[in-house]
Amino acid sequence: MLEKGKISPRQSGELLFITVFATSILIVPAVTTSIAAQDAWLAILLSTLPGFFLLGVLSWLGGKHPGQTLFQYAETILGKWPGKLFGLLYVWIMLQTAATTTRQFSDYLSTAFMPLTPLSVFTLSLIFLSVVAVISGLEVIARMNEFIILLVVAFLMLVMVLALPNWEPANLLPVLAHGLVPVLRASATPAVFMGEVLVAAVLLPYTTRPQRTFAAGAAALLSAAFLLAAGVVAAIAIFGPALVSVFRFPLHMFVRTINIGDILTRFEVIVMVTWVAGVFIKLSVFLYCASLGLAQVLGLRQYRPVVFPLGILVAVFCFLFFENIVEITEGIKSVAPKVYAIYYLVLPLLLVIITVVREKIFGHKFQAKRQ
Amino acid sequence: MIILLALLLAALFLIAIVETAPLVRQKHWPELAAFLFLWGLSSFLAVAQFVGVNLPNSMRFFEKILP
Repeated sequence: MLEKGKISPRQSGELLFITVFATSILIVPAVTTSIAAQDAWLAILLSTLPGFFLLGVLSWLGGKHPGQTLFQYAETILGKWPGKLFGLLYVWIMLQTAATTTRQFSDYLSTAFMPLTPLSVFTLSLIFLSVVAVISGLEVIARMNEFIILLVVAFLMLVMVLALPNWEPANLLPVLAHGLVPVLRASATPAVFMGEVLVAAVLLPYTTRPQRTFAAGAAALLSAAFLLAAGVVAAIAIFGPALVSVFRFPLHMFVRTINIGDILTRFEVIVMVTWVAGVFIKLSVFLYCASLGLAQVLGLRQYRPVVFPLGILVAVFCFLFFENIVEITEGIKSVAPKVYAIYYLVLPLLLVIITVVREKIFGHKFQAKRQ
Repeated sequence: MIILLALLLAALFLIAIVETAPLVRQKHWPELAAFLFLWGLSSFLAVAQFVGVNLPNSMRFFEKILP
């Protein structure tokens, strides 16, 4: 087995939570509000539906092929070479997601805090840290996340409570003023982030009780969606939908409004700290999944030799794919929902259909082979 | 520019030395081959991007093929 470590269902749920939540909290509010206005929070709650569907599909496939990751059961279901090609597609999308995440991180730090520092400083330091974490193994990432998740959730709730005096609840009304269509359209972007529960397909075999992964993943999705919706509600309640939709990082802006007796101010540093920690875990998870997947596709005995080269590729891609933060936001709004729908919904569903057809029509029995 | 390029190359070769030594010692040849291929590819892309070569962007490809 390439990975000898084991994590608990709770740790796997926490990893899924941070994977979904880490970058969405800064990007999603502006994008969803620009389409659904004050109903953006509804769009976020709706966007969990594709996430639940994907989680259900992955749990079903994981149950059919115990002890195997997505990369391994793709070969079992589709055959050796088509399965390897399928696995490579997922390695690619994981690298692409890792590159996008890294670029969002670098652009946020550069735009909001350190405009004179080159992007490469943030990018390379984050990737180096993540490579070290991935080489250390899944257990190490999961244990670090146990501490980081507390910081992320506690600090976010703290800033929301501190911002309460600035809330103007009338900004949230009327509900569904333009009907359900803008809400459905706006839910496509957060759905891209909810679909990142795809990593459950790689974590599942390394969980002590895989049958509980669905419950852990569902709890992670729900809590991420509720916190994200709370963040959007807070931002809209303070600024109103028109302002939120033009801000690049609405959460950052609403945290800047907190002022307690002119003494406790500049809370945005808290957002930065928690976000940096969350993005580090998210990048580590995606780099880990890509490395493990590539090693499994290539039939290697260990995944560690591919981690550094993949880290370099992530660094190259994050400068190659996007010119600036506006391009990232536009890409997430327009192209990403279509691309990720293929990876998160169509291809996993294809695996389910082929499994069912082979079992029901051709009478093939998938062996519960442990690897 | 030249100093930064030298630093980049030094970092890339340092990674190669650190990673290949244990693989050679343990005689893990498939892992060594995979590492050298990926390291070569990623180093080529990193240096090409650093010196300003116009590399193909997969995002543009997706933008073109998706309606």
